[in-house]
Amino acid sequence: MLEVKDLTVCFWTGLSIDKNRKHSFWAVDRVSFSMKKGEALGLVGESGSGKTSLGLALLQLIRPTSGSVRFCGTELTALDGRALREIRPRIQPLFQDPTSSLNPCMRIGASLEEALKLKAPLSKEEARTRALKLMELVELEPGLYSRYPFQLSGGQNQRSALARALALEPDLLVADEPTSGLDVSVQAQVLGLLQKLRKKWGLTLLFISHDLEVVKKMCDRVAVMHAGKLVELGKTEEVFKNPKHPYTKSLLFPNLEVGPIPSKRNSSRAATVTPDEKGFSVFSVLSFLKEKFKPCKKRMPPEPGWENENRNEEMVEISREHWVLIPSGFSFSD
Amino acid sequence: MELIEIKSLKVTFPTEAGLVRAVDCVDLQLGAREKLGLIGETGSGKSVLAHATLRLLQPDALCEGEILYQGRNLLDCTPTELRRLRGRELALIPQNPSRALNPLQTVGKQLFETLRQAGYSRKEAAAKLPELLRSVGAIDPDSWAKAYPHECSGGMCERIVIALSLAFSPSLLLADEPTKGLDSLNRARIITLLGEVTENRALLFITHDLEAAALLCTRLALMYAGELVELGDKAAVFENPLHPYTRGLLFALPARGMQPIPGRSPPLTALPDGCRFHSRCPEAIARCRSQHPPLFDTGNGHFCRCWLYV
Repeated sequence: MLEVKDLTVCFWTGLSIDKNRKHSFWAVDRVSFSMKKGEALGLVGESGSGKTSLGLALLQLIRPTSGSVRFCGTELTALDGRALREIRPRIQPLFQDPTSSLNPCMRIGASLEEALKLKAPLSKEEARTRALKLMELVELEPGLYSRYPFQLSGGQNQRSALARALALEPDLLVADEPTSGLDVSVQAQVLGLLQKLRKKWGLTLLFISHDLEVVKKMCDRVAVMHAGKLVELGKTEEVFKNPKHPYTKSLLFPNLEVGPIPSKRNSSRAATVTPDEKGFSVFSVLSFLKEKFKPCKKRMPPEPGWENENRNEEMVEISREHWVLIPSGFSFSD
Repeated sequence: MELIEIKSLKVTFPTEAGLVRAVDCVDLQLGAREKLGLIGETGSGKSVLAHATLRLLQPDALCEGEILYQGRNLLDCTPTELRRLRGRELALIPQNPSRALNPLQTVGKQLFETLRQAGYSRKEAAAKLPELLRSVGAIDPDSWAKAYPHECSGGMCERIVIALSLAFSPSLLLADEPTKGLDSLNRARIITLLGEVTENRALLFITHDLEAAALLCTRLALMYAGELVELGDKAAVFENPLHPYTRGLLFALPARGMQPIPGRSPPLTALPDGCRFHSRCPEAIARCRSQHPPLFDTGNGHFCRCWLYV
């Protein structure tokens, strides 16, 4: 359904006419993956790793520098204007901060009706009933129809944003950290709802998050991003149980489970977390990583003419549907 | 002696919709080097409690009760006395660090100003600045000092705010959701850093991140709709949660099944009779609907506001 190939997003950060490499920032670097219909793919990585840029590039909200995004057979990067507008209802975003993604001057009901009217011309009455139906779908009380976004809580706003995205009956939903600003219980409510709707509608979901536990719960497959590159891609279970790339490992360790459920904790994972004498866990991996991986922000873009150069890193399928980015010629001995 | 002692604190805000009872009869003690986690959902009054402690609330807020800091009631202090306490003895790490910093000044200038206020001479302050930045984990303090807040990442801003709060070496740090919006690696780093800098200090750690609180704190207090519902040692609260709300929160964690608590917390202007949690509680009995439960002592310093533990 969605096929991304060698997608690159590059921001020019300086006033340079020849747009040379000194003034550019590779936010997404030659990323390739594909998604089947009805699948939920989790995209994880720390802040600054380019996961949001990747999401926006898929939506064509920022135009990719190079590479291709094929959605149901249509090449999105080649579209613009009217053609793009026609396909956009089928790919909908759900953003991190719901309060700022809704129009502050429009009541919730009006916001929903506007989206509905894009799909087909509707009379006032029809629009109202369909908007109320949508609100029911996302478990919003009908009383909130004539409220403004600032009058609602974060969870309610995120539901309205979801309803608005669903109004256009999309095939693909790109959810960019939809719950990172919400507290635990509300997060569970919104995610439960998202899961329910996904089953009911057969929605394809690209779930961008830095919360690994949430991704573990929500997604069939998971893709790990570091410094603009996809470093690991595979079935959620497989990646969590058997992470191969050192960065994935480092991401998994700090995500501690609390207290008395040691049975749930993977034994191999538990062994590597060493609680020090202060009582909280410090990860020996972290110091190792500090040397091994430069911070996301300081990376240099590849040499000019990289498209033709011999790539020194490649994605390799190490077991069934489990891809890892490794330097060429490197082999896993362990 | 306890460092800070909050006695039946009530904070109310008059609004058009009626009196908002943001904090209602909260009793808390915090020892000199104790780390207490204050947990609750949005709107449960945890930030208001912290701001009341520092007397940073808006002027129309009504505070009743007592907040004793080393035996002195902060609610009776004059503005001059408060100014001597704030920052010097009690420091706040505010929510949303990037907004707490002055966007028009470099990080270095803001730190320098704070250090000057702390009584250092220009020379001393300039010498102390890189040291302070290094203590919060800056590898290259000079480039940090030259940066403007918008050039800093979320984790960096958080570290800078922590550095600012440490300038006076206060005896109590109030950290208001320091891990909010950070990714898992940065979260772990900030938690570790907070653990390091509060080794000789007391910490009131306000959060809804249960895992972070479990790593950092020795005691946990849970707030719901403005009042304390459970208070106890970390291990006791996590292994043997008494209040149905605590249990609900633990089961809402993605690692533990992600079961949401049904319903929403009541509006603070119209609190229900009886237990404030009864409409969402799976274990509610008839008594919960009519009578408001007091905080019961269930032994070993574990308190719970629930009729199930009479």
